[in-house]
Amino acid sequence: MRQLAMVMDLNKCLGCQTCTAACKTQWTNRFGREYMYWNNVETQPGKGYPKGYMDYEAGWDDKGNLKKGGLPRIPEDYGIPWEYNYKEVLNGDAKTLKPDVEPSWSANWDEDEGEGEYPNSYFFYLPRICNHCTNPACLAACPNKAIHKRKEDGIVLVDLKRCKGVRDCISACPYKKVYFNHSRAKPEKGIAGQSEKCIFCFPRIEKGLPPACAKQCVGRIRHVGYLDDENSHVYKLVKKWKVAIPLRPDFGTLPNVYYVPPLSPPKFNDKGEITDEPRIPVEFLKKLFGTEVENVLKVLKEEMDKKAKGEKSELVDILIAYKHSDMFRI
Amino acid sequence: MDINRREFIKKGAIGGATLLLYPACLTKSEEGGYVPPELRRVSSSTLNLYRNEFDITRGTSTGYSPHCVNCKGNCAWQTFEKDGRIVREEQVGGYPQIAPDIPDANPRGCNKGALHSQSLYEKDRLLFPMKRAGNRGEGKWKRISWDEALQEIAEKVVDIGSKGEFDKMMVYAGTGILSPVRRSAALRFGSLLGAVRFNVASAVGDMFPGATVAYGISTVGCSSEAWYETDYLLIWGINPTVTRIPDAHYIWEGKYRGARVVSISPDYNPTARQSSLWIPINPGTDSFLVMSMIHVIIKEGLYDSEFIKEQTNLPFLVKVKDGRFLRESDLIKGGEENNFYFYDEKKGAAAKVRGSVGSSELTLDMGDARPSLEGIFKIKDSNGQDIEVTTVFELIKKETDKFSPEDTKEFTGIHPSIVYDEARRFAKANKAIIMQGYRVHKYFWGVLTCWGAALMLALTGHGGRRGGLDIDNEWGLGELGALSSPKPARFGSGFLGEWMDGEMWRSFLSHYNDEDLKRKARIDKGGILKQIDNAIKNEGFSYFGKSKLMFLFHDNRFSRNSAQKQTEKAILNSVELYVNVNYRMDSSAYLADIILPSVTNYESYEVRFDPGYGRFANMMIPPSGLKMPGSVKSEWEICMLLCKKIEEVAKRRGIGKIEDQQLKTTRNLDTIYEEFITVGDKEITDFKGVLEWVMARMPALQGKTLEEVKEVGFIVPGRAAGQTSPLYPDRPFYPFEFQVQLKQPYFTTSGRQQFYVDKDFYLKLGFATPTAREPIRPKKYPFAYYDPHTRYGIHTTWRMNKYHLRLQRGEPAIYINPKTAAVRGIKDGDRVRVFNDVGEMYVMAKLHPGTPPDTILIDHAWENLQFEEGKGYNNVVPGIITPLEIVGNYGHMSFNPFWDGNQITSEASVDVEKV
Repeated sequence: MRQLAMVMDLNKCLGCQTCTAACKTQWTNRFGREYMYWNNVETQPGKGYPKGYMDYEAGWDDKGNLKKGGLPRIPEDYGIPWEYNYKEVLNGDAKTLKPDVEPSWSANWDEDEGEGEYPNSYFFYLPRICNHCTNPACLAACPNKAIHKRKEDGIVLVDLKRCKGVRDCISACPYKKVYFNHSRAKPEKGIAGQSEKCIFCFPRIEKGLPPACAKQCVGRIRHVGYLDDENSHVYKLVKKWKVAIPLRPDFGTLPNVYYVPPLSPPKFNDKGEITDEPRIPVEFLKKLFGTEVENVLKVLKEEMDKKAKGEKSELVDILIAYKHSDMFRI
Repeated sequence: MDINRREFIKKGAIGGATLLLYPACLTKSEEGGYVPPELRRVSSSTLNLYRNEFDITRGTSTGYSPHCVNCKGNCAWQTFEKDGRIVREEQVGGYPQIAPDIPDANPRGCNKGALHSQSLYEKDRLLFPMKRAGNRGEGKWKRISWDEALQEIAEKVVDIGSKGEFDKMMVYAGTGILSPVRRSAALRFGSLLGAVRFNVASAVGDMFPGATVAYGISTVGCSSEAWYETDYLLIWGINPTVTRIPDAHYIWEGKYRGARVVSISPDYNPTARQSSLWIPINPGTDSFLVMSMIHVIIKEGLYDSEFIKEQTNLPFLVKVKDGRFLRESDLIKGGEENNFYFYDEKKGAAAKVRGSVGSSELTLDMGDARPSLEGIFKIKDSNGQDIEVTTVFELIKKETDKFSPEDTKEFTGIHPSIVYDEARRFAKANKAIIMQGYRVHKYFWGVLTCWGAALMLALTGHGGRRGGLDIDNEWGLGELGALSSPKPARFGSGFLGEWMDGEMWRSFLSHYNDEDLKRKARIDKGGILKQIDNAIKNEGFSYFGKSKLMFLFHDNRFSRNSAQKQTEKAILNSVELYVNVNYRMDSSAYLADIILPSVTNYESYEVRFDPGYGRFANMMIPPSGLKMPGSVKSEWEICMLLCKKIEEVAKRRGIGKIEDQQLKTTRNLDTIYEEFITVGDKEITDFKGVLEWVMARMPALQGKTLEEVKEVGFIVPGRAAGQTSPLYPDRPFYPFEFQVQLKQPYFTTSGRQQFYVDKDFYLKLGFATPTAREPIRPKKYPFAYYDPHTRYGIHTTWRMNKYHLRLQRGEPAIYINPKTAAVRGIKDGDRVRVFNDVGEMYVMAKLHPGTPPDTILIDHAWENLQFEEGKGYNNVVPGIITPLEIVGNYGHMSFNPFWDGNQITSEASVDVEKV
C-alpha cells in the first residue's frame, strides 16, 4: 500500500490563510459544509479550531484501546459562519453591517496572540488538514465500517453510502478533523446527518494536480509526495533528514502530515539586551511535536550555517524549493 | 465497539521509541506497513460526488485576472466560469524561473484573490444605477435607468462647464483602478473636461518624499528576487509577511540561504516572528534609530569613501557662514545657480562638479579628480573676498555626532548594543537592502526616516547591484499620456486637496500642542498653517478650491480621510452633485447622489504591470461564457456614454467651445464624445480596444498581442521596463544601475544622491541634513494610536467580505496589550470606546501580547459602515501635515507626482474605556 504525505514548513508559513481560502472555495463554501474548515490555520499557542481540540482525551492509549474522546459543539467550539445584513445596508434598512449573531468565537479568534509578555511574546502558525493517518482512530471507531483507507494512496475517506451519522469518528479523532454535515440528514432513515472531512483533494490527485491547499500555498510551505518515493521531498524530509515530524505523536494515530518546526527570534532581558534564548519555549514545542523537536531545530541551524558559509546543503535546498513544481510529486 | 487487543507491537516510530499498538482492524502486510484487513472500495457514488463537484469548479470556460484593486501584488490567476458566473479562481503558477539558483516566483497570489469570486455576487454588489431617495448617508435609494442617470449627470456637467467653472469639477480615479485600461477611462474623461484630479499617492498617504529628497524620484526599489539573494535585509516600517504575501517567500527562503533579516516595528507582528531579529521601537522614533546607526558607521569608519565621493553630494562645498551651497554664482558674476563645487585635493582648489542641473557634462564620472570628504577651505568669491567653506560630509558628521546609540536609547527604547551590532553587520554586508513601507511617511518625521535610510545605504556603498532602498519601484509603462491626458488636466496636490476640502485644520488645531511642536519641530501650529498657505500661493502646490461636481471612480475618500466625520461634512458641503462609480456599496458610495455600477477585474480586459516588485505583466481576459451581472458597465463605456450625453445636452443648449484660460485651451462640450472615442487615428468604443491600444504602446510588453497572450495569461516583460536599471531576464532588479554602473546623474538638482538641502525653510528649522526629531503626538491622551495594514483586505476592498470576517472577530476590533487591558478592567471581547478630542469609535477589544503597553492598534481600513453610527477608525485621527513636505520651488523638490504633502495618520493619541 502506498501513502501520500504532506510536509508543512512552519518557518515559511505566513499565516495568510490562502490555503484556507483555496479549500473553502474548492469544497466547503456550500452544501452544509460552511462551518467546516477542512484546512484551517491556527495560531499556537492558542485554543485552535475547534476550540480546545487537543484536550479531548482522544486517540489510542498504551494498551491499544481507543480513548473516549468527545464531540465539539456548534457554536461554542467551531464558531458560527456569520451571515451579514448586506441587503439591508444596500437598501438603507440598516446603517451598520453586522454579523447575525454577537461574535464570541471563530475559527481564528486568537490569531497572532500567542503567549508571553511584551516584548518577549511568541506565536507561530499551525496549518492543519486531516492527517490521513496510518492508524486512524476515526476508521477504528466507526461501528458501520464507513471509513476506508485507500490502498493506492492511503487517503482516508468517509463512505457516504455507509455512514449513518453516528459520529463516533468525530469523537475519536484526536485532531478533530472529521466534521458533521447536518444538511446530509435523512430523517426517514433516522440519520441526523453524515460525517465529512478533508479528502486530500483526491479528484485533483487523480488528474495530476496537488491538493488545492498545497498548490495554492503562497508561502511555498507544503511538500506533497509518496513516502516510499525516494526522489520526493517528503521522503527526504521525513525519512532521510528526519526534520519533518508529526503533530502530537502521542495520540498514536501515525499521522501522515508532518511539520518542520519553527525557529524564533531571540528574547530580550530586562535591560533590553538580546539573549541566547529563542522565544518559543522548547518545552512547548516538545509538547506539540515530541522530544525529537530539539534535535530537529539543531539540524536546521547546522544546515543553515553551512549554506550561509557557501557550502552545499541538500536539506536547505529542499526547504527553499527552487522550483515550485518540485514540491509536488504525485 | 469491541476492539480486539491481539496485536501488540513495540515499534520505534520516527526518531524515537514509542509504544504503538494496533487494533485488529489493521494487520501487518507483506510489503511492510499495516493495512486494513478488508480493503473495501469506497462507493463510487461517494467518489463521484466529489469528482463532479471538482469538475464544476473547473468551469466550462476560463479567463485570467490579477486583483488589481488597490493592490501592488499583481498576480496571475485563472478564473473558471460556469452558467455565466465565475465559480472559482486559482493561481496560474506558471511563471518561468529566472535563474537556477533563485527560487521561481510561483504560485504568487493571496487569500483575498483566492476568495474574490465569492464577492462578485454578494448582496452588496451594485447592479443598477441608483439615485439617492433621502438625505445623503440615509442609505435610501431609487433604481433608475442608465439613460436617466446619464442625463441628469450630463445636464449638471453642462451647467457648470458652460460657466467655465472647470476647476469646480473633480474626476478622481481612485486606487481601486490602478491599471491602465480601466484607469485611463476616468482620467481621459476628466482631462477633456479640465476637471481636478488629485495626486492619488499623496491623498492616500503612500508617498516617499524622503526618497525624493535623496534621489529626485521615489519609484525606487528592487524586484522581489533581490530579497532572496541579499545578505542583509532591514525591514523597516513594513510588514511583508502580511502586505507582500505573494512574494514574502523570497525573504524567508533568503533567510534559509543565509541572509540576516532584521525587522523594526513597535509591535511584534507576523514579519517580526519570522525574522532573525526583531527590534521593538517606540512608535514615531525611527529617525533616532537611523541617525544612531549612521553615527556608528561614521565613527567606526565603516563607510565607502569612493562610493560617496562619486555618487553623493557629500563632497560638495557649503558656506560655513550661512549654510548654503557654494555655487557658481558665488564665484563668477552671472554664474549658474545649479553649478556646485567640491575641493579637489589633486589641484588644491575648488572644482565644479559634473552632472548637476547647471552642468553641461551629464556624468558623475570624476575623472582624475580627488574630492575631499573632510576639511575647511578658503575660496575667493567673485569680489575677491575669502569665503570659508566646508563639506556636506563634515556637516553630516557634526549632526550625527549628537545621536550615539547611548544618546538615542531614551527615545527609541533600544539598547545600544543592538544598534552597534546591527550597524556593523549592515555596513559589512556584501549586499544590503533597506525595505521601507508606506507606513514610514505616515509619521510626522517620515521624511527623516526615509532620507536617513538612503544616507545609510549610500555611506556603506550599497547601491546598484549591491542593494539599495526598496520602497516603491514602478516599471515604465511607456507613452500612455495620449490616452489618459489628451488635454491639459488640473493636477492637484493630494493631501493638500483633502486637507483643504475637509477643513482638517480644525482637528489639527484641537489635537496638537504648540509648546511641544515648537520644542520638537521648531515651528508651531500657526507656523504650519502659514506654510500651507504659502505652499499653495507661492510654492507651486496646486489646490483648485472645493468642488461643485464630484466623480469618484473606485475611491473610498470618506473612509480613508482623517477626522472622518468632520472631513466628510466639510467635503460634501459644497458638492451639488456627487457621482460614485463602483462595484460594491462601500462607505463612499453610501454618501453619493447617483451611483453607477461598474465591472470588476474579472469582468474586464486589462493588463496590469506597473507595481514594480513583481516582474510579470498579468492579463485580465474574461472567460468567453461570462455574463455581466445586472447592467454593469466598464469604465470606458460609462465615460463614453456620459460624453455622448454631454454632447447632446450641449448641442441642445447651443453651448460650443468654452475658453479655459488658466490652462490655455478650450473645453468642447459639443464635441466631447468624438474627442473621447478618438485616440490618435483610432476610434475606441470598448475596453478591449483600449487594451489593444495599450499593448501596442508599452515597449516593455515586447509587442505581444492579445491573441498570443490568451494561452498563458501573463507576459514576461523586456529590459525596457526598468526605469533606473535594465530589467534583466535572468537576475534580480536593483535600482540605479544607470547611476552606479554607468554614472548617469540622479534626478536631483545636484545630480547626485542628495543629503544636503539649503532651502531657506529647511535651514531655518534645522533640516539641512538628515536628523532626528521626537514624535509630536500629544501627551494629553495616554496611548499612541495607529492602524497597521491587515492581511484581510487591501485598504477597504474585501473588508466587508464574510469569508474574511469569519477568520477574524467578525467586526472591527482594536489590539490592546493584556497588561494594559487588565489595568483598565477590559477583558477580551469587551466593547470599548476609543476617543480623543477629534472623535470616538466603539469597537471590540482583542487582547494581543505583541502590542506595546502604551499603544492601541487597529487593523487598517475597516469600512465606516462596519462601525456603530458610522464612526470609523479614522474618526479619532486628527488632520496633520508635516512642514517638511510642503516646501516647493527647490529644484527637484517642486510640486510634482513625487513631491507632495502626505496624509499622516500615525501621530494621534487616544484614550480607551470599557463601555
